Amino acid sequence: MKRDNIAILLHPYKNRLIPRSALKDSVERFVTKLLSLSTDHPHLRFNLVMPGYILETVNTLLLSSLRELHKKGVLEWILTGYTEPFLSLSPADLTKDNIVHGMRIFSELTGETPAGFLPPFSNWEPSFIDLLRKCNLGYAVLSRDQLPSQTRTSCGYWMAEYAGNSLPLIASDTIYHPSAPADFKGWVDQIFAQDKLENQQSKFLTLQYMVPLYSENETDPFRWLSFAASEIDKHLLAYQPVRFSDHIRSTQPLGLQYIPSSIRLEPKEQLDLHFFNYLYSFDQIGILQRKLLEVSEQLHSIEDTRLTAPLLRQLFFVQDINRLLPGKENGFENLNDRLWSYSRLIDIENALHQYNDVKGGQIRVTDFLRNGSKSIILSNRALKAYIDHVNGGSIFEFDFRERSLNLCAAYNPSPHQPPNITAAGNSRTWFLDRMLSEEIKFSDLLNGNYKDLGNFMAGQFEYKVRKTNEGVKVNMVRHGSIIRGEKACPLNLEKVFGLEQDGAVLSFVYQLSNPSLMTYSFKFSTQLTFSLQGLPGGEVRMQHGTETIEKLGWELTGLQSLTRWNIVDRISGVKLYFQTQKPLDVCFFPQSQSECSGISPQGLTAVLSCNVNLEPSSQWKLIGKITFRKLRKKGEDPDAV
Amino acid sequence: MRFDSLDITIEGRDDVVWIKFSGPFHKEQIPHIREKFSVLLEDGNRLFIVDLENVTGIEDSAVQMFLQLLSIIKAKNGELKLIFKNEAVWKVFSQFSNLIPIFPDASALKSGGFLASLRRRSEALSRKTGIRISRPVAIFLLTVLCGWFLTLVFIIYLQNRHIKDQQKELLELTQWKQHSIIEINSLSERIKPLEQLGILRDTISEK
Repeated sequence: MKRDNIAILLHPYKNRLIPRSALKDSVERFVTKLLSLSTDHPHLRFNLVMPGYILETVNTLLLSSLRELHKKGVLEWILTGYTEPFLSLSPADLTKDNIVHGMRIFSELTGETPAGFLPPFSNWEPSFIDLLRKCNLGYAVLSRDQLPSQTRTSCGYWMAEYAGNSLPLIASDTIYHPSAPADFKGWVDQIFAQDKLENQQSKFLTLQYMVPLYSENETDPFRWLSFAASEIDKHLLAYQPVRFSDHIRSTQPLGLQYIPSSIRLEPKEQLDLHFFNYLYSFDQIGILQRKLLEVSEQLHSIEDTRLTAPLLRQLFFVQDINRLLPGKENGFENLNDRLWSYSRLIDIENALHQYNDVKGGQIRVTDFLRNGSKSIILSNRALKAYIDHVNGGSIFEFDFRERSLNLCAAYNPSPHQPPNITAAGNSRTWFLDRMLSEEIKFSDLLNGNYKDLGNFMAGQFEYKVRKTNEGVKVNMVRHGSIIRGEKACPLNLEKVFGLEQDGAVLSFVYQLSNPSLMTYSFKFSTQLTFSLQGLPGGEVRMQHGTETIEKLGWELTGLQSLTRWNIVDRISGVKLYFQTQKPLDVCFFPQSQSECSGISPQGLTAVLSCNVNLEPSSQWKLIGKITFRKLRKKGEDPDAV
Repeated sequence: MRFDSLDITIEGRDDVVWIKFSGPFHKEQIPHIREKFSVLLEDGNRLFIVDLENVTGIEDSAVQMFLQLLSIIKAKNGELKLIFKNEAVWKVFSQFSNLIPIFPDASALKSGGFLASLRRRSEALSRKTGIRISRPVAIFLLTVLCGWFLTLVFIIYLQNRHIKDQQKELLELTQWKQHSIIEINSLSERIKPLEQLGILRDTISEK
């Protein structure tokens, strides 16, 4: 009697941020259960996929048991890389290094090199076939849903082909334990029955079972697996459990397949070939990726491998797909995860800054956002500011390097169209300038009941960069206009940002000039949104004089005529001193629940405003500075890998 | 946009402003670059090192700009040095390599003195002529040249010594001659009375 082949692919996955000790415990629990399952069902064969860094957490005793299983032909290793690289979003060199490092870790710990490759979320890039072959990876595993509808029901394996290179491709059926089928045999027979191909070979099914490493409910994922193993044992005359390599060795592929660049975020979801447009409609993911690309390029340009090897290892964690997809428990939507990714990148940049021995600041004029226009990057030992002179001259990223913290990483959860990395006015950047009517109140600002009379917020500024012994700065000028009555009247805005030598001080200067013969009266406002980890827990407070306001960002807070105040967040371990020459009205917005759509507040928005009366041919100037100080950090790293 | 395609990094290292360019260097960028240098000079910076290693293409007019910048900076008691060894940039700068200080990399800047300048010169010549000589061949040629030189010096030395000997001999002979003449004269004077008396015949006049 012809038996059909069933391959069980176990995929333990990190479903949320887990500290290292907890990760180690849950991985060891998983391995122990796997060993016990293989003892109970000696006929079963397992294919096990995991990244190298998770394998590193398994203790040597369990590792030796896994080695034994491999020697007996019960187990086959499958690789995702050292971490789980986002193939489509990461630089190819970095992904290659990640896979090669993962292979090395597997060889050292298991004594065997992995036989195949599985990209998490079925994130497939056909151009990687060549790389996978060169790494001696014998096949790739993707979700069955990635196949074209005409061949999706076929039960066998294919040859994936691209640019003359080919690789065996296995299509898997993914099962999550809460929705696992109760009638195992019925489910398997249904899949085999859907295959209408006239094929004399044994049919082949891959059951990809997802095992969460952090279990939220009491259901044990191994319960269903144990049930499935018993069912296979019971019907051993009908089904033969196999490892992937065994099946590929003994049977022919069904045919050729071209699978385009794609990703599958949800099971059974329609395949989206334009998923990048979806990703780039959010703030921050693009900035994270651009920073990753830049840091990777810098690391690859250095020949000293003693310096770069540990830094590359850190970078592998940042390119992990779980950090670069939207999600509540992890991913770039999660403030802690996002700031964790930034902190790793900032740490690497700090090491490179030290290596290059830069003193007294650096100015870079570069296409950081890779959108065809230059960004200006001012940096010194303590701070780094990314300025978009094309869109309102605002700061779209601000790193407090001494604390490895991106303070300008608050993001707007509502996607923007058309897709772009930042959208002027929507993205939560710093120094968004508006010219408002003098009667506007704090509540109007919060509710959006105002009209911007100026055209500076999204306008292009001309710039000059300066480097002196005192530090680095950028002067930006826009000859814009302001609406008075029905007419647009000329108004010039000069904006200066500077960093003082190697100190943690950001200075800013605004100069408004009235070149006309009319008098202008309006309210000048500038908006900054800070990403602070203490915000969701109400740990951010403001101090001015002897007064302290707790739980900043939870309700509308407005204060008038301030020249000195500070914001303290002990969770992030940072204190921001504000100092201005002219008294300003300061207002902090609460984060509305609708905007946050169930996730933690994404940033503390502050609006600094002041009434301006500009006589004909006169100027108005505002000078200020923000000093950043490190405090003892109360918060812990949520994902210590 | 062609006027905005070049990436620029400006940073300070030990009182020197390092300016790194990367990407294609089009002539449309020249006004922007010139303006950046003038602002940096206004801000009191005088020592500049410009890294062109990552420039992927450069037009001839850029060289004119750097020559002008060099004269402006030198007039303000400053210094401008260029760093690169890439072929695309060298093609444009090769004929001006005597005017603008060009270094192959940052490490060459640190090593000063005669040997470093000799090395720079040799690298410049190597690029200009396209001739490259390996170190063993260079040592062999140097040894042969030194051998020739030493042989020449030795020959000159021998000739010199020989001439000196001959001069000495000539002097001795001249002195002997004068001495002999004096002696002959005195002897002639002494025998003159005997000749006048007819005791002795004058044999010399007979001859």
